[in-house]
Amino acid sequence: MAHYAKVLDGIVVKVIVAEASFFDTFVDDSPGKWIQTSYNTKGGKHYRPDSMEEDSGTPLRKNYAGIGDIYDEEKDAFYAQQPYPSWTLNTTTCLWEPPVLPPDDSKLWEWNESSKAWE
Amino acid sequence: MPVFVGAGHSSFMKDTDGIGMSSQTTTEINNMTGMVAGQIVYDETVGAVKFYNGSSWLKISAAIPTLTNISGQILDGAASTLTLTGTNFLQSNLIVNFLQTSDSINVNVTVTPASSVSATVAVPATVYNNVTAGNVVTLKVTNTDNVSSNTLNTTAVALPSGGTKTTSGSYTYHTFTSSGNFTNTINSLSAEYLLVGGGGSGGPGTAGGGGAGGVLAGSGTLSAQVYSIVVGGGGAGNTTPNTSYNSGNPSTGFGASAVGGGRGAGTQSGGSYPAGNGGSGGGGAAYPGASIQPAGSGTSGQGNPGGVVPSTSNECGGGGGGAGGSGFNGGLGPSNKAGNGGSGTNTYSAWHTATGTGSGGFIAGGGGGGNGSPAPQPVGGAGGGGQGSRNNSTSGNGSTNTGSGGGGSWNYTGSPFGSGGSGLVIVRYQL
Repeated sequence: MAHYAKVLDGIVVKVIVAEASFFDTFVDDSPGKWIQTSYNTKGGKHYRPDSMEEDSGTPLRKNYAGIGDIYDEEKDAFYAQQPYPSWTLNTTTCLWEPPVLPPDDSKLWEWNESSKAWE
Repeated sequence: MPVFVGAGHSSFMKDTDGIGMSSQTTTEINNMTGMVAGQIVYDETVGAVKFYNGSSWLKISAAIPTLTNISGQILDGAASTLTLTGTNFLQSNLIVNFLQTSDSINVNVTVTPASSVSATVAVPATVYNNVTAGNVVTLKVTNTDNVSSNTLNTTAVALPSGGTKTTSGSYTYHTFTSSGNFTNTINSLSAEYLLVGGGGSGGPGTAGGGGAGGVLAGSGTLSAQVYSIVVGGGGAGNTTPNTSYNSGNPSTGFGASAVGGGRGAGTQSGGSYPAGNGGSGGGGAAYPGASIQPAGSGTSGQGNPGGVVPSTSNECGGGGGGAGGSGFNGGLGPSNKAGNGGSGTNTYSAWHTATGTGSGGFIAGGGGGGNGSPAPQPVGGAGGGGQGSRNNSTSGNGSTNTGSGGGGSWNYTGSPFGSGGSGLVIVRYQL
């Protein structure tokens, strides 16, 4: 079951469930273009449909598109808006990464953009 | 032995069999005198029997039926009823003939007309099981005196198509788990539809569960045409540490729209991540030191609001709203338990049983909020809502094609939050 994202000016405005043949007859006069996205792709990896367990499926365009996400035509990838100015885009996963990784524990941490640290 | 009265040109006469009557020209008849009502004579000029009604001579003719209109359709593979309109239908035992040569159909059905100008006939199985859609079927009627009408043609049509087609009881269902076309071939088809929007994702970081997509049922009289059906996708959840969270997408068809579910709120990650309004609203959230994020609202007639978390001393999310109930509030009790997802609805369980959709007869459950230990695992609402995360466990996605919300994260650096389940559209009708 495929998904397609409607992209307008590089931003996702809608995501629907459809096969490619649907667009042979679908009358859609709204601006933008339809680009296939994968519900099971996150960070350039393919996951099982109802879990976050990676499987052997083929990832597509780095991330499942959400409304407001960016479609980068050059990278042919969907990714979220930049959460903080200091975070950088990992071009392999197309996920935003902080300058410092969070501590690897079960505590709650939040990013402080002013101090550029997890607190 | 026939009876003969008199002989010759102007009285009862015999040829070889039967009885005869007076035979005269039209002029002779018009010049007759002393007639009585009920008198009959053969007009050899026009070749018709005439009777005298007390004031003039009228022809006695066979009532010739005519066929002027056929209402209804012959369906390829299903029973239907036709209404025939015309004139001179005798009051009983009207024979309706169906003729389609290439399909080897030549079938008579005897009906009792409703009146001299109208009759209904059920298309027999020997016709609808053998006719080929697109072929022309020729109809005529014959009265009990063996006088037949003109013929009229009607073209057999295929049954409606699109989606996954099933039947249950007297209903035919078309299920769309993916966008497609519902091709209706039947004029003025009375149909019902059920639209379910895509579910919203859970929120990022001490977060609320995603709201379920809106559930919208309706009905209408459909004309014979192609209807575009769009199934909305679920809102995207995410891995850690990311904050991109998304409301679900609407499902549309027949001019109606079921709204996508609202995304769950998030609080922990330092930013402001409000819950989304939607078919059902996303769950609210609270985190010490951060402002309370209220729950999202639902759309009237399609869903319910998300659950709230009342205080910044709490550290958890509310459940996403479901089509059958609001999301449960979080922060209740000493353990800072998150709210479970609101229940989905089982109003349409018969639809789901017939089509193999839904979850236990329910659809559109809200996602659970996220919490830490020792609070128990937050669960999603009945119908496929994703469970919220507990500590760093992964939240669940809303079940596919239920429109259910995804579970909210507790720790956005350690617990991914779930995506919403995709939507669904079902059409049903009776033939």
